[in-house]
Amino acid sequence: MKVLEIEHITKKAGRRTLVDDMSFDILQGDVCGFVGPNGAGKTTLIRMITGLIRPEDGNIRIEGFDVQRDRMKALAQVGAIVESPIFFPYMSGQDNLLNLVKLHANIPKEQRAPRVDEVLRIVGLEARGKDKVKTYSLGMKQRLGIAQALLGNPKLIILDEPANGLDPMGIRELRNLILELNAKHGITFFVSSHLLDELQRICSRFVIIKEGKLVWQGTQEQWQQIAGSISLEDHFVEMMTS
Amino acid sequence: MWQLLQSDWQRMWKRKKTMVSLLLFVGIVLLDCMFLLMQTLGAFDNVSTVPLTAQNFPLFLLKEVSFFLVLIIGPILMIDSFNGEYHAGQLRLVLIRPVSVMRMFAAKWINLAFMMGIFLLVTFAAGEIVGHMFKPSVDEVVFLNPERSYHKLEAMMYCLESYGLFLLILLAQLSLTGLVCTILPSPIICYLGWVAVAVGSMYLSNTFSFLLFGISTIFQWMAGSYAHPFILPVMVCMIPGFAVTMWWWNRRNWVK
Repeated sequence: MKVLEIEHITKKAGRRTLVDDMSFDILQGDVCGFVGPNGAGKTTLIRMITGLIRPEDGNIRIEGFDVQRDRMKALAQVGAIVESPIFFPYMSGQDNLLNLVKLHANIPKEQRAPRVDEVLRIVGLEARGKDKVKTYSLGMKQRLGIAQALLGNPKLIILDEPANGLDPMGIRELRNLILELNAKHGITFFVSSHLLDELQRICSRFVIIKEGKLVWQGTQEQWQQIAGSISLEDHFVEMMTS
Repeated sequence: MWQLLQSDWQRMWKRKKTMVSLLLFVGIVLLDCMFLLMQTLGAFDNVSTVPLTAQNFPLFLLKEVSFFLVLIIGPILMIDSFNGEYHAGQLRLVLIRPVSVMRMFAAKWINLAFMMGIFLLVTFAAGEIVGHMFKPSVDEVVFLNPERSYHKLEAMMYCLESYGLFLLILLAQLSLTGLVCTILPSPIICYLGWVAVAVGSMYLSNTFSFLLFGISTIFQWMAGSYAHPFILPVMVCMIPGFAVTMWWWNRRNWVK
């Protein structure tokens, strides 16, 4: 079943085409890596998926709901970290989540506080929940970012460069969290990154873009087959330079 | 909608700037009360004065705090809410949720309108209390129009009506500031933009002088001596300004 459908999406900024006629699908249960060099259009596409910016052309559907025409139903299915996880620094992590959970109509008032406690526990922040966000490390902010993405019980979570700035321990924690949420809760992930090694460890599928265009998509096994004897990283560099 | 209002209201009050503004405002109100207590006459302009009494004290207190509210406290809170959260990237957390962007703007507008109401209520209450405690209470009082006198209750209603008109001016300012904050990129530029709009509109027509000299406009309007239309231009700034900004928010690209 398709969780995310990208259909002939084009986005321009002035004369420059940021995303050019891009189409692909993400299936339920996938952990999909979204790979491309800096400036390839990854964040632009993620902003369109989350309704922050509008495409010039094409459709984006989440669980069958069009993001432009049925924005609220579409966004009810998705949680996201777009670029760096920025919070309201003057509030605690718990207060940030309590503030945001009010915006999910599918969570009744009496279940808001338990839901916040639950997501804090899932990401391992229950002990620091009452501390101000400005005291958090980057790794803790990333975990809080995943917690806020989990609030509305989404079917799809989109992470934009989640490992940026994390130390090896933080990257490992994040990886384990993604795999656990995918396995235990069946959440589909769409993770953009240029850390190919890291994506190889968690992703079953890949979507590769370059200069706003789709270059390749398929499973990790398919990629390994076409890469042959060379590593995926070397093959990726070949794709980007050819 | 209620959840959007609650969520925005909570964030507004958790920001240090809001609480500091309220405390600063209370301090200014008290200082202005002390200043007025040292006066025996209240001045409507350079020419017209009346004896300061318990009945007209709230009106002259409003005159003293009005510039502070229109030029400092009001713009700071409005720009912080309409532009500051977005500029800092924090609004993205709200925008990616299943909420209507138009309702989100409406929630911010309503909350700020309510907050402006609170500031005016604090001023009115302080004016009534301090006026009745320290100034003589009279049976009849005149305002700018010397031919018309008012009994105690009528004078209170006169003051309340003036406060209500001043709130309308703040709401017009709120809508215009919302529009300025949507067009311009950063909070500081937005503040300069708001000042430019308020000053520039006076070059366009004296009709818009209420944006900067609201209290003087109200004095003359209430006395029946204001030479320009008042309510219509206020509504023109407030309602279409609100509607255009709300439409714009729904159509714009959120790139921060």
